[in-house]
Amino acid sequence: MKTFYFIILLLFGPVLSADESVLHWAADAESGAPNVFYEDGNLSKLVGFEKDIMDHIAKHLGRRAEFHQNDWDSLISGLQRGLYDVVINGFSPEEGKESSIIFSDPYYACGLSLIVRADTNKIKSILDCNEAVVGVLRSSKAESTLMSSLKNVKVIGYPNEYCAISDLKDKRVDAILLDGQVAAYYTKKLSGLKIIDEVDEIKYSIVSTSNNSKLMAAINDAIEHMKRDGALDALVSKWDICNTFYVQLRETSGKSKMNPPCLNSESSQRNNQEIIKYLQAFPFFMKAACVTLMISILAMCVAIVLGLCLAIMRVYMPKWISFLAISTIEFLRGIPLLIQLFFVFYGLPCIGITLPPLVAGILTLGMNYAAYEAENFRAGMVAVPYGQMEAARALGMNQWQSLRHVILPQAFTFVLPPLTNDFIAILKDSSLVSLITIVELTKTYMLIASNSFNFFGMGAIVAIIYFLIGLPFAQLAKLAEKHLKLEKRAYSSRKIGRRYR
Amino acid sequence: MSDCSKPLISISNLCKDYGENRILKHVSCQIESGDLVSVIGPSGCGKSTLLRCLNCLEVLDAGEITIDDVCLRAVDHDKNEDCFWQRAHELRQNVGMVFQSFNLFPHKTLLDNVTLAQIVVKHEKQEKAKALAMSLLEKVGLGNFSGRYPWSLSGGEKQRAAIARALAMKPKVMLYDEPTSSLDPEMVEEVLQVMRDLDVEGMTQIIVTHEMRFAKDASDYIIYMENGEIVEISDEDEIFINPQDDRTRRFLKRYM
Ligand SMILES: Nc1ncnc2c1ncn2[C@@H]1O[C@H](COP(=O)(O)OP(=O)(O)OP(=O)(O)O)[C@@H](O)[C@H]1O
Ligand SMILES: [Mg+2]
Repeated sequence: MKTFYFIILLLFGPVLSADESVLHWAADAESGAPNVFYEDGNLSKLVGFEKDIMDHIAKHLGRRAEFHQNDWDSLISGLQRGLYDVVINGFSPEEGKESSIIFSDPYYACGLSLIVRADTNKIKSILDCNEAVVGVLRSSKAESTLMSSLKNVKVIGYPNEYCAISDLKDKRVDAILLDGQVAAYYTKKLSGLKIIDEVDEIKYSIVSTSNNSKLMAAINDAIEHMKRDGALDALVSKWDICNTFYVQLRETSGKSKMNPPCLNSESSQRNNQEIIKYLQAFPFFMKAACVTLMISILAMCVAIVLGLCLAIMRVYMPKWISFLAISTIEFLRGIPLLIQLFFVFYGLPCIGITLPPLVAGILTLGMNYAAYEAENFRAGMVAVPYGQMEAARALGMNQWQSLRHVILPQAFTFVLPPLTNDFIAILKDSSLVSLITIVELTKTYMLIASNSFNFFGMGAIVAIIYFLIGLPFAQLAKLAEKHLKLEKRAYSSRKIGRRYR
Repeated sequence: MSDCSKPLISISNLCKDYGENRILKHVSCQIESGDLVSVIGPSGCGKSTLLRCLNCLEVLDAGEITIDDVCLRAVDHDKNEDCFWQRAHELRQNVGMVFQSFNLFPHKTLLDNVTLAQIVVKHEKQEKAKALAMSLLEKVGLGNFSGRYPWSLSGGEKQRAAIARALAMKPKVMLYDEPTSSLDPEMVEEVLQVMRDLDVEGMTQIIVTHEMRFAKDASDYIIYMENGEIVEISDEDEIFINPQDDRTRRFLKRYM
């Protein structure tokens, strides 16, 4: 019973804690340096320029800042869905044209920097990129700028900075266009790259929804305050991200004593040992594995219960109910899981059904797999000889009693092997719920790897963890199968024994 | 105990169709309490169908069946289905059925096979159900087998267990559909003996069988069916020595 309450708390916790003393803010920490990121991939150390700004603002508002991870693509949908109060992640007012979205006064400005490999001579400015392949962040300002200014450029959109930069190093793209301070961070961090051009200006604003206009006013007040008392300038120099656009921004809104930096400032060399990174990552991987396991098990429970109902409806109920069940099964398994997930999480709130992320994730996964389980159960029930049903009915049991005591226990023997298969499949498919803000094993891997520039080693660890989680279930199923099939094995061995004695 | 003058089972004008084909054609007969009746006839004449109708495994299409004052009418099925099935359920309580292929529950021990329906349908207490089950298993000679699973039994033992399972519901009538047809010859007798014992105790039994010798020796009378109709009902000696109907004569010639 205790575990039951614990699970309920875990599922609905995020919704219940909607409380005025906390400022919920969101960003994408996946290769989010230097704005919001995990230092060296250590998930207990959330740092960054924007993180510091949110701390300042929260302090000014007398609230506690609480961070929410979400994918960059989904930050605004999450905001509209009420998962958090504000988003701070390099958004500029031009990017969101929707009226329900409001922007704060700018807290930072930068240009777009063009990065190429150090040995590239062909491209000297953005104008040389016509004919070239250029990487950008998906749906970023850089993407729209590039598309509108150059006709023959081939633009490739990336989900995060790290992917773009890896591809540049691996020569899959000729150049990438990133926000100035981000470009500076990565060229310092990784060798063999250079910044060759800077174009356009973008201003960073905090984003919220129009029903939070009061909060936004307070945030603007806080930003103004930070500008006046020099806190903002201090943060900019702390993160070493000063540039001419920022200086201009500060000059129009008050005095600034800052100078734009020289581009080649020496980066602080960190010699963190790899082992320590792995050790740091370990507890987070364990926690994430628990989340993945919990989601998978609960989703499987949903799938089994729902699947069983659908199978019974399909096999033993009147025609129209059976037809209903068949339609449901075909519908559920005919639509990509991803679409179902987005529909349930971001779509249903439009008609007033707002589910917490975990509940939405578990239900959707469970519903999708219920279709497959229903077919498994159906096959199992059909495999039980019809005489069994007749014998049970002849003894006076009604249909439900016959199913419950005679058919289902036998059907379960047939169903167990495919059920285990599906559990392992669900374990892997559960990584999809990371798209609705749940940080599980795959997302944890992405966060750690993209922030510690180690996709290989961390990837191996994650692969092993997935494998190890699935393993006991496969063994368990084998054991149970052995136990249930005991009868037939014993029979054959008895026969053989008799023959040879 | 029901009235002596009133038959325990009365079937009147029973018809059963499978699609276009009428399998049972206006079958009528009456069976007294305590009788052992054998039903014989060529393959496909509708013997199994008749038994299945008596146990409501098939829905009758016309006519009516009365067993121990529970009356089931075909017309009720069209008019009021819920009421019909309620009746069918009541009727089934008085009828035990034994199948050619045993149909024991393979995932349960013999004891559980016999107690299951008592507990699920009659809501008997575990101990009471067990006590009855043990006494029944003992009666059919399987007292030491209560913990065994069906797969570990011979055909004759399985069929005796199936009889015990049906008896556990305390039926007033036992129906057997070729109970010995799938048994090796040496096991047939042990099953037939159980039925003889039950007859002595006064159980009403209807047996569809190809065991002419058993039919002749043990039954009170014999029903000969052909083509979905009851051709002849007569005393067991009479029918074998001097059949009234030509069709009966032709059938028995092949067996004798
Ligand atoms: N479910 C069904 N659907 C259609 N026809 C059926 C069905 N069950 C039985 N029949 C037909 O009904 C007729 C009577 O079948 P039934 O099983 O009662 O014969 P039987 O007298 O028991 O024969 P046997 O001695 O071989 O067991 C047969 O012609 C059979 O083909
Ligand atoms: Mg038959």
